Amino acid sequence: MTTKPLHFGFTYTPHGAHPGAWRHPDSRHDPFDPAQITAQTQAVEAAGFTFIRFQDQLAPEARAAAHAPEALARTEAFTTASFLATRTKRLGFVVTGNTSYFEPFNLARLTASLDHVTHGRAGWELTSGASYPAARNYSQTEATPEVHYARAAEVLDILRKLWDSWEDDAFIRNKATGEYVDGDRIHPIHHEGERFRIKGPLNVARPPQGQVVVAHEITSDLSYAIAAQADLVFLGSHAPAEIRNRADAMREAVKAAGRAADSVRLFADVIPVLAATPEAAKALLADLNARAGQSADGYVIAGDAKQIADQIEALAETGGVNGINIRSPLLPTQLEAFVELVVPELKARGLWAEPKDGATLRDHLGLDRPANRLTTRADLKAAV
Amino acid sequence: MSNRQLHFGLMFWANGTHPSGWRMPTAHETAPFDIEFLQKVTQIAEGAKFDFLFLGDRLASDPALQTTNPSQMSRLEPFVSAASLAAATSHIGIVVTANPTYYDPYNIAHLTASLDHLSGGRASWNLVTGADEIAAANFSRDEHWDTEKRYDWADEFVEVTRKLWDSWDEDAYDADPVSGARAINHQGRFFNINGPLAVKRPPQGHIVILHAGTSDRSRELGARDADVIFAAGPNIPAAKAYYDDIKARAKKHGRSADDIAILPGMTPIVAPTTAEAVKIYDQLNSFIQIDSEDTAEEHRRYGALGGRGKRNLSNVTRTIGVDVIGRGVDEVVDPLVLKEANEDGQKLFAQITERTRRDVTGANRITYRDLIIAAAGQGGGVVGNPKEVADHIEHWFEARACDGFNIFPAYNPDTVSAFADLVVPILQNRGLYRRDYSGPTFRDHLGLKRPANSLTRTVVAAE
Repeated sequence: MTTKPLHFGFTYTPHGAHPGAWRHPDSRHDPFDPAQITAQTQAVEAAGFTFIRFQDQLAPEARAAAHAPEALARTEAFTTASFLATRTKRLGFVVTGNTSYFEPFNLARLTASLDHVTHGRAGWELTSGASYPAARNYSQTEATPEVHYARAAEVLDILRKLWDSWEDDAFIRNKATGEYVDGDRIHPIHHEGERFRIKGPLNVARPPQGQVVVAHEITSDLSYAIAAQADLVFLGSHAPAEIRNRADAMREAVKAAGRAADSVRLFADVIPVLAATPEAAKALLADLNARAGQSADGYVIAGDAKQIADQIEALAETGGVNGINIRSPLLPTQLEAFVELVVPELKARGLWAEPKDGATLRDHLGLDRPANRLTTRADLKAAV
Repeated sequence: MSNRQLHFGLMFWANGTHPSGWRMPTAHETAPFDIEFLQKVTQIAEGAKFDFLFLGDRLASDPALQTTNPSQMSRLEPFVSAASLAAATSHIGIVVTANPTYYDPYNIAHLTASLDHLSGGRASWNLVTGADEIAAANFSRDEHWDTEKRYDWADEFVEVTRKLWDSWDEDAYDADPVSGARAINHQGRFFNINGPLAVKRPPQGHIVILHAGTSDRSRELGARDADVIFAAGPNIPAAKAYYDDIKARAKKHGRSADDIAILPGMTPIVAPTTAEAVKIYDQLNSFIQIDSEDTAEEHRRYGALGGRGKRNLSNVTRTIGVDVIGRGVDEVVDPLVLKEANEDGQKLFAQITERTRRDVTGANRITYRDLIIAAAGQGGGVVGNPKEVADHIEHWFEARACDGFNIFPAYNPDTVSAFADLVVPILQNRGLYRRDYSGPTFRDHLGLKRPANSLTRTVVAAE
């Protein structure tokens, strides 16, 4: 039996995660209507999800061809998260930022600032150009996955240094003396890497979480090495046995990176197709498949509330994960139904970890606030 | 009563535009990273029906800025800030500064178009290319590009960004999320971009573009592409010459003179009485740190915003052509100094008198501190009671030296509230300024049409 409560994330897909969603008459969701995305995000928060996950789209046609029109367009992830964070209180925001198509200095500012605006509720999901091709929108020629991942590793290193370039007590703000900052607590990073030369410091104060929560999704064998440096790892949307394989491989990778196996939170994604009866759920799934002319890309489970809760529990138990990301197949109705019917069932079983007001995303996930790696003070220096 | 209406922006430097603004007793000294405070100030500006709130930007930091420009030392990233401010307001335009030299067009088009959707058509992009020599070191560059390269790059950057904004048919998304988007297949000197954008056409069609600059290339870019231009004009004749030049260039590019609003910066120090306003002005300047007379070390300049030299008597001596080294900072200035001062010195004295109502004779005397601060180009502003400040604004506006002002808050939030509460109602009563917004978008505030889509298959008429 699973004993620990699970964390729940909500992976946002415009219209719904099923490619037939936008053709379904129940689809009333407009991803460009601020009122609708606000209402949906507030519903996710009210239900007790730990975070909502927004993904970027830097090559819409490539994605649409590979998956579905739902993937074609949506508002940009950082602006969307900041907008919605202002209208929520405790929900975490995990936002993709692509290391192949953003300058590291810009990415560091965006992520650190989102952490300030959300009062420590920000997570950055590192994506690279290896996930999907966008080079043709960035005046680049397509590189190999190895090149994209090497670049990603260097960018992650740079961001971790830039986030630490201002110490927590860098600000003095003494009106009487006129000292605003302590220059000894602000550090250039002098990064000289294979691809980047960044002097620093960042022009943003250290994020409230110290280091923004770093997430990464396993999309290939090359993903594990960089995921081993993350706080939050998304194992993908797969059946329980495959999730188990990935979870085991991930724990090995974390150990190989010299970290404790339980220092990383592992999540699996699931697409729950829910109805009042098992038959109605199957019928809805068949309807969506027929409208799309294909099935959904991912681990789809269909059933009534009890069956969905059973399968989520089984996925967590067999997969050995800390949390589940819900991808609603059809918005807003399938999110509303999940919140109304499945969430109470999971809570009744003690499987739902409820986030608290005033806590950071690290607090919610049970992750420590890291020491500053650039401090010159012995009493604060991170143990290496 | 003229139909022409003033436009106001608020240049939001969280610690104030005065170098010591944050030291004022009521100033909110933690402002730069306090998003709720940013929201509050934006709401004050929206209550005063401002056209826009302006978020400046830099791409580097240096602790040395703390005594010259603390607001420029560190801040929240502007796109993230803007999205939060949009969520906390309903009408005011929100301007984000982004430097194309250090960004990709696809990202800028993506961020700006998204901000326009989230804000319901209130997004704007302030296109800057310069003022950031030290940024190169944060972007793996050996040097900051020269003006020609930066503007060649910026010209194509704007062109391709507009194409990306137009890469969706007007109502394509609503009908069918797939069919209305198209590749732009841009192949230029600097950029090869297929498109389409991953965001449908912004509510404003094209985001409002702001620009500032005095070089020939900058004026051309502004006259061709900008909807709002920030101008620096020390006096009405200089401001008018700039204004006339930009409007003439706009016509040359096939635009109407009314398509561009030219807004010089202005720092109002206003209080119910003139004496109270001067007292605030003096208090602000009393906090400015006087530099040592050691001239060996070059004063560090940070673009055009860093002042005109050290804050000491050596700089005064160089500026006015009279040796005053060794005088006491708070000593009153000998009338002989004014008599012997060169032309720049005469101007400096006149400027100080205009702001402080002090002179080298009479009951209220100019001190060397006044000279030091004025010579360093700091502590500027229009100081006076509400009527005096409103008169100044009306005078510039009616002289067609400007279409309004970009208001610089010396410190926050008091100078913003004072302007909103004391000056705005006078301008409204004079029929010079809106009592309410005429529409929900930034283009509405500026009286600008929504541009037609340049790429659409069946051309949709502009509304």
